[in-house]
Amino acid sequence: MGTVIVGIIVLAIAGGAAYSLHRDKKNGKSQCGGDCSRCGGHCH
Amino acid sequence: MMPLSMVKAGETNIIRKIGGKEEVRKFLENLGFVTGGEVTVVSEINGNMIVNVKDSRVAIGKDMANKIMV
Amino acid sequence: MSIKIALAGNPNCGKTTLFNALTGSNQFVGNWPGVTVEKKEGKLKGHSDVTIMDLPGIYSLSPYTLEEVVARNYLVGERPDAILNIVDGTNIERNLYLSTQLMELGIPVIMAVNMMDILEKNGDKIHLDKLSEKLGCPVVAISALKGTGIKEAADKAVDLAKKAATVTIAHSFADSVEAVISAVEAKIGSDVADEQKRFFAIKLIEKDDKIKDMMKSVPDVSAEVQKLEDEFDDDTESIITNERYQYISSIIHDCCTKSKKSEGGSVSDKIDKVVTNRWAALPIFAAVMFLVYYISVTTVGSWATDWANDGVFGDGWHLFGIGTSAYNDAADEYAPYDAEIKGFLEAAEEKAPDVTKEFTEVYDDEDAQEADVDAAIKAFTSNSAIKSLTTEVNIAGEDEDEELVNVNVATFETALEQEEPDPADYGVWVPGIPVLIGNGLDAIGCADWLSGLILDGIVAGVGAVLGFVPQMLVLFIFLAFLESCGYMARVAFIMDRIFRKFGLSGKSFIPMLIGSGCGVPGVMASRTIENDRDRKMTIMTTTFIPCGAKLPIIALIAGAFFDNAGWVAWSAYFVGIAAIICSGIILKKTKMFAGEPAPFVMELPAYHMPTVENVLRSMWERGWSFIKKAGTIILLSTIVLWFLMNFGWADGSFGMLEAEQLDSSILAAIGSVIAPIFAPLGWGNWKMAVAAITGLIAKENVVATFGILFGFAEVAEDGAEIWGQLGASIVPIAAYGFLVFNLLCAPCFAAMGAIKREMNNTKWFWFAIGYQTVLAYIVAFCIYQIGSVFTGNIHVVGLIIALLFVAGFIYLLVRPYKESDTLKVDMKKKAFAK
Repeated sequence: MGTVIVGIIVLAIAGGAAYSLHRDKKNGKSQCGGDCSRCGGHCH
Repeated sequence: MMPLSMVKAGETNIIRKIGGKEEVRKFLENLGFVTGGEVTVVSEINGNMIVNVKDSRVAIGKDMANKIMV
Repeated sequence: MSIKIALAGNPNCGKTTLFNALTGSNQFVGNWPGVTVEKKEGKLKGHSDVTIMDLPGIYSLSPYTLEEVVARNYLVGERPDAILNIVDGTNIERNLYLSTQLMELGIPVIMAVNMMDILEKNGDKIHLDKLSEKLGCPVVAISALKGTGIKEAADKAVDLAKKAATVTIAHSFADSVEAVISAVEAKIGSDVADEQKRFFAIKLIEKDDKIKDMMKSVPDVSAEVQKLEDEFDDDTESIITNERYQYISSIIHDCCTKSKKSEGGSVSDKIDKVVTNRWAALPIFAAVMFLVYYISVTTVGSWATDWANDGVFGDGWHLFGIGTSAYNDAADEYAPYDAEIKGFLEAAEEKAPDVTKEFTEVYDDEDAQEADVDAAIKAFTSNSAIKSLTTEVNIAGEDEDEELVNVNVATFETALEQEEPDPADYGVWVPGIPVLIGNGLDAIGCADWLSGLILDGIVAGVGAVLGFVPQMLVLFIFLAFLESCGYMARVAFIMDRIFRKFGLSGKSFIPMLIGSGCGVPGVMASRTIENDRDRKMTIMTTTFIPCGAKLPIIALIAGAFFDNAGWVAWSAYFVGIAAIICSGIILKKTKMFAGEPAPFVMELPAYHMPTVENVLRSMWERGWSFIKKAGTIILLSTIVLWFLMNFGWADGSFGMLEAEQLDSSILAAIGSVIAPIFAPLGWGNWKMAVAAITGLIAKENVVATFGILFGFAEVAEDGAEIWGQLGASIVPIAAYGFLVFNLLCAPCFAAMGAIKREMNNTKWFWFAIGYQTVLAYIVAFCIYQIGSVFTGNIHVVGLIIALLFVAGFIYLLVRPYKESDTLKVDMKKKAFAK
């Protein structure tokens, strides 16, 4: 029983992560801090 | 008349002529390098310079500085 | 009835700060020229129908740069309802140059004079009402940083837009010039709106070559142009420019009073004299960067990371250090006994390996019952071989002297009876996350395999990456500070001198600098480079600079192989810069890229003390993205990796594997296929190969992968975390080569995407990626082969090939720089002909 609960939690987290990535891609994600459209071109 | 690149740090001069390609000249003018205007040299490394024009600080490469005659 | 208001002004005048304040979006304010390359939109706070368009910073509407073209096209094509012109009060003369052009567009303009607070501090004054009168437009004072006057400015702008009044041009040039302008205006067709005619007329007179693209029918104005040029004995752009500045001077004269203080070189100038001094500039820069990385990576950083890796993601830690010293004392007391036990067992293993193995299996088993352990001890010590064993062990005494102590069975038994202190008994002990989760999973009765996935997969992988967060935060604070205060702009200038020698301009340095945070905006920053060849070259080499994600890899290698030495981090940057410079030199000598670099002109903003708020905000922005990445991409990668690692073909069938069967897993199978490629580099084992490949998704994955692969194997008796394991798998020189390979090879997917977008050309994209990876391979190869000579491990064939590579490299670097010869000859002929 415990396994099922934990398994569902893990799947939920993983799913959330995947969804978040997909959404970011749509916004033109960048791995730096924000979306590229408002990026000043300076990150560092 | 001498090129700006030969001016020593701390000196102020009047710009007499700006040479170079049209685009470049226009850009310089936009920044404040105008004939008749003042230019003060803040610092200089091997021909590359930092100067003060129209109250703002601009860094220019040696090639550019050579084309600005004071 | 939506209203569009455009925000226009010079770079560095505070436009972005104002934009943030007006629209509420959280954007970062940098102190570099060319901060905004893209157009940005936002809704005005409190007015749902008003859109504010933040245009790129520009000096004028004559297009020399992409930003100016973008801004101009928007203003003429999209016709916003009003323009909010931000003017930097501290150098108003130059700023007004743009203003005069904006007002010629026929769009209502309201001018907001920024940095009024600095003006006041300097003792200068601007008479806004006089200014407004002379210019013919409303003028308000604001301080974007402080937030004063912003609402009034916005409200006025909305007002203006709503009224849609016709604009009266207040300024005029010399009479003869005005006459010509009118003449040209008359010639312009009806495709240009009336209020825009003046703008177009002036541009035509200036011989602006891009204005034609905006007109349907272009009138011939050469006669008018000729007339002006003859009259003033100068070319028309200069004439108009001069007219503008004359007009501006007259305004300034009447409306502004300067205090005597501002003469004589400001503070910024004084700082610049030192920082850009021809001899001191580079050493200062090197020292600054070294200091930054020393503090963040080696000292504060490694302390924080140790805590994170061994504590939070390890066994546990003492809250605020309560109990640490007490524990340390107890541990010191116990140390000699521990040494005795270990020494004895070592000797025992040599003498009677089987018996010893039986014993250690039980002794090391954490879940073993006490009774079993006692029985095992009894069995072990009564064994005849063991009974008669004596050995000598080096034990550090109280005064750090080492003395040889005799250890026999009796001493061994006594030592075993000593209780090893448990840090949890001292002070306030916070168990590490793996321990907590492990206990939780046990309590809830979770199946072993799932626990394995969570603990050995996700927690190990993500934890390994998160462990570096403290380090990164410290680094980010420093970098944010350097950038905000204005120093970075000077650096581009300083580097220009060097870069020029290699056929690049200092402008190529800016993307590099940005790239040290994240490669994606770094690659995009190459847009400011007008010269197409330079741009392509910059795009290709920007990712050589270690980005934030590569930092954990550097730290990991430094920690596991080089005892956290400071030079490792510093050398990584050096290698990156060297790679860029050498690539620049080599590529510039190929036909594809040869040509003079663009001249360097850049405005340097005044130095100022960045606000704590700004610095922290920027640090947090980047820190958060790092963490977010860990929670998403890396999380998913670790899950996938875990599955690949724990399933495979062992004992003839496919299924879940035991810890020791790691080498039979799917991952190992895939890795083993790839691994031989890297054997000449010194790291041909499948684990390292897999780690490098996962790095393509996100560079942090290399660390995460290591976290799983090397932390997973439970063979280690003392639960050594990954650093120890990793350090034992390959030789240091190969590790350094591995580091360099990862630094130089193709970047992560996100960065590759950026390269593809900026190159806008699939062929060039593959060329860039290929170039990077091949270079990485060759350099890592040479490092390993040649470096091995110094560690006494020579591979003859490899060494010869490496030396050949180095020779070839040097040749490419020093061969003469040829411009296309034919062109030169033609010019000479022409010159002589004249």
